[in-house]
Amino acid sequence: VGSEACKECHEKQFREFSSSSHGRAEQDQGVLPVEHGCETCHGAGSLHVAADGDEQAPGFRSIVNPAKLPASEANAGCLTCHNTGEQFYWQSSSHAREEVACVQCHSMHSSKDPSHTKLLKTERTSELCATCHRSKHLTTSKSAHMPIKEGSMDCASCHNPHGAVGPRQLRANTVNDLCTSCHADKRGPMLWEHAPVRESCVNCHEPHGANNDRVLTSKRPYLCQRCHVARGHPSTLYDFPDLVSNRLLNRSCTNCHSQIHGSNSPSGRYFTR
Amino acid sequence: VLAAVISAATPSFAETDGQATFGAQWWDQNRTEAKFREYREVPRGGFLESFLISERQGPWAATLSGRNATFEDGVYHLMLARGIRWRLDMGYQEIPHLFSQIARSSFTEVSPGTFRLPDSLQRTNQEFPTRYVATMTDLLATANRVALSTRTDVSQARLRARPVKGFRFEVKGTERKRTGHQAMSALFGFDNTTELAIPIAQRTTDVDGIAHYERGAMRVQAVAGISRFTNHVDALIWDNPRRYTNDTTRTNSARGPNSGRLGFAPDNTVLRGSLGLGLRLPRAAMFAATLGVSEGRQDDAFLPYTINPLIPQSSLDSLPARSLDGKLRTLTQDYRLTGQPLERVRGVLRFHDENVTSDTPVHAFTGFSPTDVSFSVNRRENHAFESSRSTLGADVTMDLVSWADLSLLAEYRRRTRAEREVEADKETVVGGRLWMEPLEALAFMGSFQHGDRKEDAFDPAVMTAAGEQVNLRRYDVANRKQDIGQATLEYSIGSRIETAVDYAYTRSRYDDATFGLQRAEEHLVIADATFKATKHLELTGGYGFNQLDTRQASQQSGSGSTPATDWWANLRDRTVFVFTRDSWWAIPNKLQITGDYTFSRAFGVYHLSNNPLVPSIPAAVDVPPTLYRRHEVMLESRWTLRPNFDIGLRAGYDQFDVTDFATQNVPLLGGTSTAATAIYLGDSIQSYVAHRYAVMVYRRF
Repeated sequence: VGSEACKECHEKQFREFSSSSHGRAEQDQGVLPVEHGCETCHGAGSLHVAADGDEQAPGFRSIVNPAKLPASEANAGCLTCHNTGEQFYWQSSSHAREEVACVQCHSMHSSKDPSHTKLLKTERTSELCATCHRSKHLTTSKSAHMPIKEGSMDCASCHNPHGAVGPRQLRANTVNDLCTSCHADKRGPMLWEHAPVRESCVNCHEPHGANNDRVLTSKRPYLCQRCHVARGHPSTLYDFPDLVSNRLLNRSCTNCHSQIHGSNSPSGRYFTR
Repeated sequence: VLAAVISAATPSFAETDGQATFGAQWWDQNRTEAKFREYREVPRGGFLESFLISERQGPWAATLSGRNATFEDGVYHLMLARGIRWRLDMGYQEIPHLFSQIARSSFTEVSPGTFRLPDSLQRTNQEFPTRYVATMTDLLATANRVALSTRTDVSQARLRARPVKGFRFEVKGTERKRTGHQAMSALFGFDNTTELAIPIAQRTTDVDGIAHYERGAMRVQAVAGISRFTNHVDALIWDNPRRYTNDTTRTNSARGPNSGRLGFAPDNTVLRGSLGLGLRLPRAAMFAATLGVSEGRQDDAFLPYTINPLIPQSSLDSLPARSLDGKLRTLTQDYRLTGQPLERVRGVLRFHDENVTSDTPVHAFTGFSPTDVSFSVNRRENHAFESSRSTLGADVTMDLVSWADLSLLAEYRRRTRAEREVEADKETVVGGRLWMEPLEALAFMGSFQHGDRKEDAFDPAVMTAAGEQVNLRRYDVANRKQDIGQATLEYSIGSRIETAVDYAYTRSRYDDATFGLQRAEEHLVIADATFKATKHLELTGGYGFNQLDTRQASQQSGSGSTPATDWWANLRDRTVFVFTRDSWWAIPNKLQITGDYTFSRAFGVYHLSNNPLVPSIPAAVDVPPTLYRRHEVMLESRWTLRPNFDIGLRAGYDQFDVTDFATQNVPLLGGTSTAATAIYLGDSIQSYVAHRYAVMVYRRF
């Protein structure tokens, strides 16, 4: 029946749809794999229109509401166009496997993200993710955290909810590639590498949040003493009497080994230069 | 001004719309603790909280949006589009990171990265070493405040196009500029450590291009990019507070050169590319293959072994090379087959492999000077670190009935690496997940997985060469048995109450670790509920609990008649988290009152014990517990004066309490292993209380 017919009864939805990126698609039908309009997602509307608003008429309920369809069916329509770039790996993503529907996160008619470009159902991406990933609400509120609750980052800064090549749907091939995309000073290669740093940043850091300085998985010096107990130092685990010394005070081991992510100085073998 | 202009804007085009939220705020804080403004600027006076202007004319569309305009945490985004063929997004974001507002230092930064002390002070300390503490105490009493904060400015541009059916391309560029100062320590020995506010002046530029072609059942995606990191400050040079003249004596605390030097992060470049293929197959199957390569290069000029001119190796000629010429190549392969072989069975078969190889030349260094005091002759070659990581996995989901499904997981992981005591290990992971939704109002999900990681071989010679105990097992490569469990229950009571409970459990055991991390066990519970009390009152709240227990061990070496003694640390990290988010339309469609409250409390316990076999070894004493507690409250009442025009009042309360033996009450002159002679910045973390009050205007047009 065409989208104009829908407008007569659903003016608000039509207006919001028209002003969104989906509305703009109408201009460029030629580059799309399907005809674009209300019926692309809601199915043929002729019977629904013929019912003329009579909810008892048999054709009234023939219109499709994607939110009420099984996820795989609802998503099929979206994936007709959204199958590249961000969505290239959707089919093998954990969200697809768990039958998450696109419309669980996105709203075609009343998006709440500030720029209305992502068509999200909440104002912030992290708020949306926390509706299912509740535990991350707690971890991102820990004393040391990334600027997520302050709004400078969100879950999608690191994870691609639509699927990715990297582990845990990360936006890079490896954990370290992701971390060093912002922390490029740790990227190296360095002359003297600290092996666990080179292998994975999450050996020492909990990026979602921790109660230890620098989102470390444990407090220094105990984090360091998990792997280093003897070399040139007392092999005791540092206890109360060490409180007055820089073994425990301030930045603990990194009071001296400040180049712990690796050193490019010829004398930096112990990460002090 | 921008707020006023946006607010006053009258729609001149039928298809222009937008919004602006602005206001004026006052706040106070009883102590200058950085935590309150750690990643944000809390404005005083007028501020534009958010704005959006959106316009569409024919095929053209434009959106300008942002928040916290003109402030240090501002975000701006401009989108221009012509239909869906062309779209340009440009963005600019500032991310502040405030570390401390109370740090102090007596060093003067004479040029970026070079810190000086008065010559007279160095001379006095050299000539009268026994007066060092008194002299430095006097000096540090008048130390100047130094800024400890950084700011990252992120500029982005992204052009996307679909010029013809089946073909799309994208070009995007990002520049991250990081500036400011942060704390870093440097040393001339255990008893002469100095903390400085080092300059940060770094830039990372990324450019990537993506092309995508689709025809029939096939999709191809090619990506190519470059990333360049530039550090504008190459080295830290700082005066030795104890010496005016250079020295190479190793027998007294006033040793070493008159200044030290330390290298900062080197410039580096990464070239990368990948090719992806997607193929639709019969029976709703899909095959995706990706091949990615990247090469990281680093060729920054080496610093000499030492800045101390009395050491013969202080010349660049002593080095085996002038730069590293480092090259790390990463090859990534990823293959996935997704499908539904049976009507009720669907699954994924996947293989992922990352292989890091090094083309970095190996140089033979004759020794090193770790503190610029002397040169230790000890031939050593640089690392040529290489590693690989492969995962072969399968996930299968069976629809048992219409309201329940069962998933099974099996994975085989293989890792290799160079330069470690364990050069290869493998892990098998098996697991399952049950999902049920027997009622529309009730859903349950439970999952469990078990992993068993085993090293191929352990090389004790590597540990011995590193001076470590041979029974130490490092947790990142040690044999590990890991169990991960998770359960979620969601229940709706009528149409008014929705509840959910999540529980997660992770237990890692390192049974072969006589020393090192032996076990880690984590429990996390979080429950939340939403109660729609009336059409106008909605209450949401939640409670969370997280506890992480770890146990690690070490052994104090024996000497003479004193036998070796085992030490243990049992650490507990417990977090309690509470939140509420409530909304009440006190006068429907006129007056809305909202409240947000978040509470978190982190409690750390550090229990140390040992096994004193002889009286000469004192019993271990626990380190004091740590506490981080925060209350954050925000109340807002919002009055709708007329359609599209609201005003509001906000009141906020923030309380932070801290007890931390390491980062609280950090002195300017503090402890070392032998005496109170380390120089710190004194950037202690502090408890505080802060209040905020704001008058807000909300305008939509």
